[in-house]
Amino acid sequence: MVLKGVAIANDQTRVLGVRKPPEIDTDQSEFSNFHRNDGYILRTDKQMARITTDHLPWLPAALVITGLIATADPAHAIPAFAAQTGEPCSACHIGFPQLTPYGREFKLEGYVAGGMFPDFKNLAVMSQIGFTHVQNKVAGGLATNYPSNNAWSVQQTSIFYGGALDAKIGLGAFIQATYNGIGHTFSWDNTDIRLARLTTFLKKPLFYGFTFNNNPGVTDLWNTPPAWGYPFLPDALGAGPPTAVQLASLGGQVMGLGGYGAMNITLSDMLYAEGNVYQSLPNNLGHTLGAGYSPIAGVIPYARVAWQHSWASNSFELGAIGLEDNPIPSGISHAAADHKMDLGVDSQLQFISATHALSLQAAYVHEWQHLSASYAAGNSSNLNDTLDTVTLTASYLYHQKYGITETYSNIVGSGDALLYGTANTKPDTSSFTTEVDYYPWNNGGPSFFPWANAKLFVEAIVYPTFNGRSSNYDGAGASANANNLLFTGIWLAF
Amino acid sequence: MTSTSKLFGLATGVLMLAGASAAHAAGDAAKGAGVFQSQCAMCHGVTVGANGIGPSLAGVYGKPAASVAAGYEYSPALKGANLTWNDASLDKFLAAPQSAVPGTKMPYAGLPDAADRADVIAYLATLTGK
Repeated sequence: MVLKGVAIANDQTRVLGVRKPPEIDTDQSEFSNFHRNDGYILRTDKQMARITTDHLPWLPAALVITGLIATADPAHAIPAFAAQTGEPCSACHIGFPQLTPYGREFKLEGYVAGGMFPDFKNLAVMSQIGFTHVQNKVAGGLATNYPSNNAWSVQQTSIFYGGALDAKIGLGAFIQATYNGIGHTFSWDNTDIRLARLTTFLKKPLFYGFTFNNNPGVTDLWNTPPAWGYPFLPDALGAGPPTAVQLASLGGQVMGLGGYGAMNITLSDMLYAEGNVYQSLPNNLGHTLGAGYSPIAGVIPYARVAWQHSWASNSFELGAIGLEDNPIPSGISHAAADHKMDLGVDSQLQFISATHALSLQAAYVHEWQHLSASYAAGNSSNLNDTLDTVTLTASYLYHQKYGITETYSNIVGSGDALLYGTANTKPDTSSFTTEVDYYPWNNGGPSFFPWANAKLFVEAIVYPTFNGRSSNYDGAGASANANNLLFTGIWLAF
Repeated sequence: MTSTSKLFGLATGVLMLAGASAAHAAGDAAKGAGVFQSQCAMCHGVTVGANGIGPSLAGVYGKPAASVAAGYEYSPALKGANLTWNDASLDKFLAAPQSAVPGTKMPYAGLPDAADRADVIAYLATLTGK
């Protein structure tokens, strides 16, 4: 959806994953997700290239940016969704990627509002440049060819198509492709092509539509599911949780079709339901798209229901989400598969005025894991495990320019020595993330480039527990707080 | 739009109801003001120049579409729709905006109830452009 200031792609300038699981060849790892459900974290990648302070002219860049901010001009047109609608990014976003009510309606309607057919203004570019500092330096480097600490990086650069394909039939798209500046790979990223229609059902307005997408939850209207939820600002050079539920693990590795409906049962209440089915990308296609090959047995279902109550610009949402997955841990098609099922509940509360914007989000996901294939292969100690995740987020934005976000995240799982390899066999990891942002162009970019937007950020992550413990989590004396992280930089969109 | 300006807009609208001509829409403008507040006010102002996500609707009734709110960038679709905002065209647009004017910037499911639409139209008719 349209960002309020961000040029792009509104929605979702986040990229799909980054780090690779050990059982997948690193050459296949394009997606920027920081976590996978394999219980490992990799700080290095064969293809990671050296981008250090010697290579990034950050000081001149900072001066140029400062100059641009000083010449900012009240703007209107911003590329992709914003350019199409003529609205500032803040019409659809609280900062970004969080959606406002207008943004949710825009997405429901198939990204077509304000447009008719593809136009060059529907193309946009985004780049995330940052500096990473971890509490304890990492022997061997933050990544291959990176220093052991204090490194600049161009983490990701994306191109987008966002907007109408044929507004008369309700066909629109959000398509993102990303260059991973750490791994030096290029891949498809969040993609949602949808056909939306409006009708009446039981004398109530009903938006219904069909979607082709590549990430369970990328179609969602709220920022509680992992696809558009925490972490809003991942740092590919920092360590992340050692595992994740399947809802947060499949981005870009699958393709799916589905349908959705949103009915206004009263003028203030909307019921939303969505159902999709996914399958893994075929081997050749996966490599062509830069996603690699992570086979899944058969077709897997995804379901989402939510109720939203709105008053003025404020809204409250309560929902549930589910995904069933049959990953093949060996990576060989038609081999034995594990079975995993995620069920979650979520809620979001938003208060929005011209001066203040506050959003609160809560999500809980429980995952049942039947690891028959992994167990037989000697990769898990248990036949059945569970994994639970809780994410609580509070965001505040003042005058659409100054933002602060605080997130608590906790992952708790069964003890499984072979699956996680941690000292106490558990994957348990908790974190507090504080993000402070400044959006200089949320109400318009520089006069010669009015559709540009930027987010200058400082993010700090503190880990009370990591890989099961607060101290000696690896059996070699490592403490959780050694992974504490400071990440600062700029997110540019134009 | 700020809460203050919303209240001001509502108050202005209510005051205008007293002198509004009953000749416009058949709806109840007072009821329409309430529907407007819950459904429209988050994006639309009701005083001249009060553009938000959507254009100010002050003086919109009876005028050509995409012609009233100075400084607001209307969609090409609405500019080219050759509509005049009267009871019939507003009723059709408010029922299903994207169907009535494909490409409009207003992503809204619409007001399904004809009485609600009539009430809102009656309220819009009370909003002068002065």
